[in-house]
Amino acid sequence: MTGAKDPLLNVENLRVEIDFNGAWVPLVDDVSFSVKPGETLGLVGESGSGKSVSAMSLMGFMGRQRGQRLSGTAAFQGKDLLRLNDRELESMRGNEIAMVFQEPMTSLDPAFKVGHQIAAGIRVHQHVTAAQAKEMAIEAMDKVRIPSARVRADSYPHEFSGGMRQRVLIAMAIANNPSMLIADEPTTALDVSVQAQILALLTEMKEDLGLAMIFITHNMGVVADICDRLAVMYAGQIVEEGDVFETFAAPQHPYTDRLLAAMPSIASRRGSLEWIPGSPPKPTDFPAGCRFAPRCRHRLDSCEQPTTLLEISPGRSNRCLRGNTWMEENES
Amino acid sequence: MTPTGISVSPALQEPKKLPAPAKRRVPLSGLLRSVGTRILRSLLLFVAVTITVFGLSALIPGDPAVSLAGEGATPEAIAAIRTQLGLGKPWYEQYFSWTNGVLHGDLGTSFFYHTPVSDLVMSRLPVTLSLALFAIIAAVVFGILAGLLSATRRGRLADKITTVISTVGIATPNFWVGMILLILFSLNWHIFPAVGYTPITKNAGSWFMHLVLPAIALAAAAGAELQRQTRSSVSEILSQDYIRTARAQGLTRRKVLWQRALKNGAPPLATVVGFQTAVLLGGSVVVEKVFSLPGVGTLAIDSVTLKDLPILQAVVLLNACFVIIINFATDLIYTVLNPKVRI
Repeated sequence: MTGAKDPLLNVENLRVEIDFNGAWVPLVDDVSFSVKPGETLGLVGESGSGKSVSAMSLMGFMGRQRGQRLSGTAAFQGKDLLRLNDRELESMRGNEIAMVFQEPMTSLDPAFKVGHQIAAGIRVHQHVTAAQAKEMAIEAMDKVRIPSARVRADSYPHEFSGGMRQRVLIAMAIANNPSMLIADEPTTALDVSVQAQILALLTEMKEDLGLAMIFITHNMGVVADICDRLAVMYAGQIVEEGDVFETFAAPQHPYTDRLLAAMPSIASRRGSLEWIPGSPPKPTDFPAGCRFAPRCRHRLDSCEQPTTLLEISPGRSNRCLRGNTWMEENES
Repeated sequence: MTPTGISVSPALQEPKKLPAPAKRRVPLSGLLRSVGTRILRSLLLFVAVTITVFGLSALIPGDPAVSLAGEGATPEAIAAIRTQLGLGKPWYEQYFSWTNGVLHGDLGTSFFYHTPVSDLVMSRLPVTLSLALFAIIAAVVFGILAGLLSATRRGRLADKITTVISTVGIATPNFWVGMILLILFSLNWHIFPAVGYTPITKNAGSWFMHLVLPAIALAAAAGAELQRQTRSSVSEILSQDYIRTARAQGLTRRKVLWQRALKNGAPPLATVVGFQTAVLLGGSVVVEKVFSLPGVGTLAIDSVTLKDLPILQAVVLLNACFVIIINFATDLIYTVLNPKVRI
């Protein structure tokens, strides 16, 4: 673990809003986290919790269009990602920060050979000839263990399986040796056995290339496999952040606690699956106080107050207004 | 506890050395076969067209020879027509001798001009082909550019204006567009010549000037149709995941639009271009008449007035052949553009 290094990415007070019938509605709000070089941060939460929105706004895909706005800062290598102009964004994307998406089946262009698609991303950032770019693309395909890469570079995406397509997308992402990779649910759409292969590949890539990674998932099991730290998101906010082992051992926020309890595990097989009653609020109805309070079994009247993410020990933060005093109630 | 929904077992760490997947690239013979099928289909269509065109003579009421010769014709004239049409023989013999002539480039002799029909048509063909080519190029260039403009500015003012123009373009008949252009640009402002034609071999500049207005009149509907098709397919493509992937690689908006979106949108566009070219050839008949261009269309209209059946047959046959060829080419282009349809 790289403990003392300065963070590679430092996000502070990220807020992304959309224009909803004339009113600004926050999708993501008060989001702060940092990622150190070579570190993997898991961004965990249910659908709609704002984890993808956060990542997309760092890449310039959210918050910049009409009817959207963003505020906060995202310091990355001396720049603020949220304030890059179009040209700066384009030279950053795929070069310093690369992204792998959820849907390998639709994320590759059906009309171009995969080798060409990888090479296209190389030629944007490096001054190489088409032939050199093709060679580098084949190398990248080799690195992500696509069998007979040289031949497969001339195949079209529909000639690949889902797992192989995700490998192609990973090859695309690492082709320019980025310092950071954002993986947005890269295994969610894949078969379980293939999921494990892709996770293993990502682990290998980040170790070999010293990649820092933001790994977005709703699957706590995947977090345990691949992440060093995790940030749990609920209703557009981070509710808890910390080291993976410490957080799994003793979750500080009731939502994290419920999320971990809801995870099926053979080791702790109970009578029935745990679940959280109710559903997360829509951005238009975010409560003024603790956003999880309406579903929280430890709720008190004082939970109506606005919340802040507080550091409770070095590297660990919690948004629960009750701190960890709710824990005693858990056993009863 | 070890909270792992998924554990990476050592066996899975290493992706199995799978046998290289069988290349699913289409073998050349497959491509040849599909081309062969299409050629065969086109030939059958051609046979059907010849039967229909030949059958035109049967549509003339009464004794075709008498009605074709017109009022006050001499018995010699009627007899000549009778001989030329081979009216004494059974219909299938007539058909085969006519088809045989057609295949050897003999389309009969004009009743009115008394010259071989093939010569008449061939002398008019460059006019019509110039006009059609001019019009289709204009339609493709302006239609696709306007479509891209709309697609990238969807819902904004530029899109709305373009869409209104193209809706008007589709709804307006080409002869009316032609007449308006003629009144404005020729009669009022004297920018372009009103009527007539100069062969490109004589004076390219004059050729161009004579074709601008008729080409615009002819291209309006096709261009509008292409604008709509481009707008809808490109804006759909731009919302696809793979466009986001390309943007995430750092490709510029412009590169993504001109390389990725256009190639993905090309197959449906090629279909529309093919179809519109066929429609445009039909429309050229009227537009040629409006601008008094001495093309095949004018020849066709005149031959109807003059009841010159061989000319009419030749023009219909020619147009049908063009349509067959265009459809064949469209199919072929579609196959080449879309890697997934290579069956």
